Amino acid sequence: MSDPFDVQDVHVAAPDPRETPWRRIWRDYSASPLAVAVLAVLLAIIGLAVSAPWISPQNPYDLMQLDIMEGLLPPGSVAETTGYTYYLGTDDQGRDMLSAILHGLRISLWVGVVSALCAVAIGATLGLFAAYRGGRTESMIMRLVDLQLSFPTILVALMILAFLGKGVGNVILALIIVEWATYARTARGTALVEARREYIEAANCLGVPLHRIIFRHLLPNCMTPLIVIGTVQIARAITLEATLSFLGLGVPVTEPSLGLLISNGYQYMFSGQYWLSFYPGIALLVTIVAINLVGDRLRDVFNPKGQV
Amino acid sequence: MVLWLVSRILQALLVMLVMTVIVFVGVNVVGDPVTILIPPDASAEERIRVIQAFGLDRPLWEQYAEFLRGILRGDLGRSYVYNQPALQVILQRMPATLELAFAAILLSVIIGIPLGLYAGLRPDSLLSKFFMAGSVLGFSLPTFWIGLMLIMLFSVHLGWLPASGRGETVEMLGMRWSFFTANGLAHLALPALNLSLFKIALVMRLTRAGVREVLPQDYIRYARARGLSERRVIYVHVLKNIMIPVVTIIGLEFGSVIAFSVVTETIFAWPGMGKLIIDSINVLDRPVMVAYLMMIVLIFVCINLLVDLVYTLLDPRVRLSSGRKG
Amino acid sequence: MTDVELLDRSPATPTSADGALLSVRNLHTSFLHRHRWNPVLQDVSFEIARGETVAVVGESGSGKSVMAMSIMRLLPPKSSRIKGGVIFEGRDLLTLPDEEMRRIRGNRIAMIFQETSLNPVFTIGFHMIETLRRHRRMSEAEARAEALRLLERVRIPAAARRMDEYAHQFSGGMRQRVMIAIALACRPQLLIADEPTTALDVTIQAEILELVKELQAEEGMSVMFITHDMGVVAEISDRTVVMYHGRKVEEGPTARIIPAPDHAYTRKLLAAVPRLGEMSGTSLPVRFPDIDLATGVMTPARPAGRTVDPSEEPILKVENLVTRFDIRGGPLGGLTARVHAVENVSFDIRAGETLSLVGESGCGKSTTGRSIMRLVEPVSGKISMDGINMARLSRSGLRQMRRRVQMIFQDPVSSLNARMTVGEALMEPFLAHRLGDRRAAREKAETLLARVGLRPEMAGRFPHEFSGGQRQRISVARALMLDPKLIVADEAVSALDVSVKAQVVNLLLDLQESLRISFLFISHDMAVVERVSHRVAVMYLGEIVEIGPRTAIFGNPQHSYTRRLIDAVPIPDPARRQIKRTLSTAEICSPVYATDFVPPTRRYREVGYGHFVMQED
Repeated sequence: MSDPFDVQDVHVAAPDPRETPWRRIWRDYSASPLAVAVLAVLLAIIGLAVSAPWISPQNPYDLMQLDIMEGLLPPGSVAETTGYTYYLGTDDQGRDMLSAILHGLRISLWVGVVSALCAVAIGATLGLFAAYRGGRTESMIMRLVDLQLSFPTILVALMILAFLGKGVGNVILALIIVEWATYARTARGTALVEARREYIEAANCLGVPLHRIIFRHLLPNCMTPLIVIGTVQIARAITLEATLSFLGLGVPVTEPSLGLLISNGYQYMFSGQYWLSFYPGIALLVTIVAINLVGDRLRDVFNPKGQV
Repeated sequence: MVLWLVSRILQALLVMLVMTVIVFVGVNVVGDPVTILIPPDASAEERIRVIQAFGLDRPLWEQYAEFLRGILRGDLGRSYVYNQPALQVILQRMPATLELAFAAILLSVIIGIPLGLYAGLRPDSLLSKFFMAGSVLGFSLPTFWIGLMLIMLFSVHLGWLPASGRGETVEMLGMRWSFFTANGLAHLALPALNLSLFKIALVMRLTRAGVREVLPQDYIRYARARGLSERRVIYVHVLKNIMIPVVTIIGLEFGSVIAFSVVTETIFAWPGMGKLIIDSINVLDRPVMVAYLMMIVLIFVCINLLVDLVYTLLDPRVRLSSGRKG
Repeated sequence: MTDVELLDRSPATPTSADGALLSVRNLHTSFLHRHRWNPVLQDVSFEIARGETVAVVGESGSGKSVMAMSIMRLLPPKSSRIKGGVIFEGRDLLTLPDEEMRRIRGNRIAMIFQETSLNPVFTIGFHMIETLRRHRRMSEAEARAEALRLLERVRIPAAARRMDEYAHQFSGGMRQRVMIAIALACRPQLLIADEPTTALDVTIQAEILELVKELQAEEGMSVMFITHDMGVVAEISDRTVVMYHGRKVEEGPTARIIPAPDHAYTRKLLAAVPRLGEMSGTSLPVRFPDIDLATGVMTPARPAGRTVDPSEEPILKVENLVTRFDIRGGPLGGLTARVHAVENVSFDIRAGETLSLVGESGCGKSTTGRSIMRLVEPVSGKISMDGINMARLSRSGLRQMRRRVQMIFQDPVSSLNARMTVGEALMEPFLAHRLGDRRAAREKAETLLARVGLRPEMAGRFPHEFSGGQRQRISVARALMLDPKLIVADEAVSALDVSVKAQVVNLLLDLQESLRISFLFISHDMAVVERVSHRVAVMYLGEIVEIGPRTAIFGNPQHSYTRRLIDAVPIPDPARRQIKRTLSTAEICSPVYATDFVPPTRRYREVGYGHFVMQED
């Protein structure tokens, strides 16, 4: 029961008591049924990708399982020997497209998420550190960030891969190098604002130890922009990897991501065998669009105009 | 003001210097410098001769000094494939890329800003929601995939527009442009559209975000309170405040467009720098790679400088930050 | 919840019985929030006659600003509904077509807001010329000349040059003058002023009020002045409308309402307003009286008990404190100037005593408080507490000292971590200093919550579930967890509504009486300061210009700045309406000096017992 003499909050709808900030975030997010649907789609995609080795009908990397005679079959064809239906057709090597797509999805997501997580860890740490320290340290770190950010991601990644060569690990490394600076800049910007706020000063006055101030006070309040940027960055990382693979500089042929599948299948588009490129393309699209939509919604939830 | 300009130019030069170091390290430590200077299929004697002739047995910093001197002279090595100075190869192709980039930016501004303005002013209309949904697609779809689909639709199925190459060009101001011929425009259309789709989405979202941020501000309410017409409030007061961040970002994105032209040029066989670099990477024509890197760095540094300049000119708060309070 | 109310758009009879300029009749306004219509104004009616000033007074949530926006029809059309009648010059504004309404805005009715309303990317000349050309047929040159004339009329120096400057190059007071000039451009019949002086320093506020009074007399226009400050109401208005929770609760001549309010809410509001000068009879702080809205019963103002023993040694001695900030600029980030925020400040505080630091913005009072807490590092000086010089302590030594002096801050929103429950926030310092285990921490937290007037079960809630006044109480409880001897209150009540402010002040006085806590009360509000302090120090440009017992400072101010400060405070006494001030257009300077500036040595003379004044040149 609020103080009856306090007139200040009369016209604001009183929130439910016992509402933690996380519950409030979910409540705001789920106010749009579309957003919930998109989230469900995204979770389904992640589920499929994670369980690809177990649920895909064929192992597309096992050369023993491939029969080149089964190559270039349109979707819905039935295998002669095994009676298995190729729901999405086969590629030129006889690989079942469905299996290839599931594995490709897995690689794409793996590369995107791992690189984003590492980049967040490095970038956010550096950004928070720069904001806290200030002075020369901050200047130097931010100069580095500015330098990194003034070059477009694709070129930097291209150059790194041109020098390092192909490979999943190299792609992840290139993506981390390309991405960390965005997180650093965001983290520092938010930390600068939050660190000046009075609850941090109060914690200082109260003699709360430094590590607790940073991890219990500063970090949780700096997280929201990082989460928003993080989702968008994951989508961009996946896109970038697909582009690089398409250009022939990304993952190797033995571990094809969706980008590489699209690239491989492109030449067959013109002769009417669209399914080699088209279905991987759809899978890629749906994934990226879902991630972006969720990220968009999170941004609206965290910074709605008119809400404190 | 002059002081500021000088300091920024100094900073830019510093960045260039740092890049030369990075490139040098990349070439000498990560790559094998010998293979950069000679074609991959040279004999052993040639190797020894080259090593001695190019001083590769001298200490590293001396080599770096030589590298720098070469850059200042404009000598960045000789392409294996084209047998011309690498720099010349790149400069020949630069106009095509610049033209493509310019067309893409033009499209993004012409389409993106009005759409974004509409979406910001009438956020609840069906059209706005449609635009915003489209913008999510626009920046989610990978450029290469859009390119492929554009070719499939407009070239293969409909046969309206050509799928590759650059059309007829007209010489103007010492460079060749394809803007001014119908054939040239037809060839320009698909690649420009492909390259610009991402930017259109970006500019649209940026403009809309700007409108949403500016509209509730005190000074907009005040403008209405003074009885100004709604048109004036929007097209003078709101627009001017939005333009500052939008223009600066568009300027910065110009560099990104040049970079992404790599993909578009590959798909559409557009004879620009981007296609050159991909081809060069594939055949390991390293002098061209090095020259391309340095060229790109120069372009970017110039763009950043220009954008900073424009920003200070546009925003009186920054321009007059040394003004006294009274 | 109420449904959308049907708009009654039939034209009202365009006459008003007594020739009132503006007649608001049964105004209802509702806002759409999360698919529900919430009534914000209910059945508000009042009138403004020609040439008269009406003050609309209320606290936050009263709807006073919404009313002005409803009259001007500036509310977003999709999410608001207005019903009723607003008759202006014989026409109902609510039924006018949009274009007609626009011709009235800025022209027949002008509105000014807080001074942040100028578009930062246009010059002020642009704003003025734009408004002039919109409503009057003028060429660019004519408009410019007229704009110049208007700027001179509101006494902006060097107007011709300043017309081409931007908003950020003006101080707050100057910006407000510009807005007044723009408002006058078309010689309006009615000026609506929505809290125009709330964010301004008190001396600047006095100038602006004086300007408004003068211009009103010259133009013969009516003024609707929206404010929460009863002192301003008394000084500027003929009649007053009191609003509470979207309703008008009282209306009448200011001269009658202030001495003899009718409605319980008006009485409560007035009871919570400190009147400068009414403390001259006593030397101790006095609590605010309080009125229970439900029963109308008044708790009278109780003086605080004697908490100070003059024979004791002070618990805090500040000697020659200096804090400066570097200003860096130029291409290489070199040092260009320094802010002498705190310059040679010295004072003592005894146990159970409240010393107030007063002054306007930029005078250094906040920085002094922060320097004592070492939130900002002083350049030199001594801060002794219990014999230990806190200015020289290492970080670990400082942590120990944290237990003796604590701080509460101005902004109730950002002084609590939004992601921590109130209970955790309270327990944290206790546990950080290892004063006991979690159970002991929780017990103490709950005890203190009760002590500050909240319920212990609220410990599990998050800050956003509390109001501003409650959050400040939580901050007080948090400060008390370490049993400090001194609390620095940095504008701790400035952001609160009048009635809430009174309650929190009463709380502080209660705590002082029971725990013998000392306060360093930092504030710009002279009237509140008069109420709560034992001693007062007046600061200007980083220096203490006068210090002494409260009775001496307020009763016998010696320094010219102190006198100016006291003069400028609006007093809720309607008799003061007639007072004309002679005011300058002097700006508040800021203590920014060149890097080689050496501050002059100051001399103080003793005027009375413990009362010192800085010698003026």
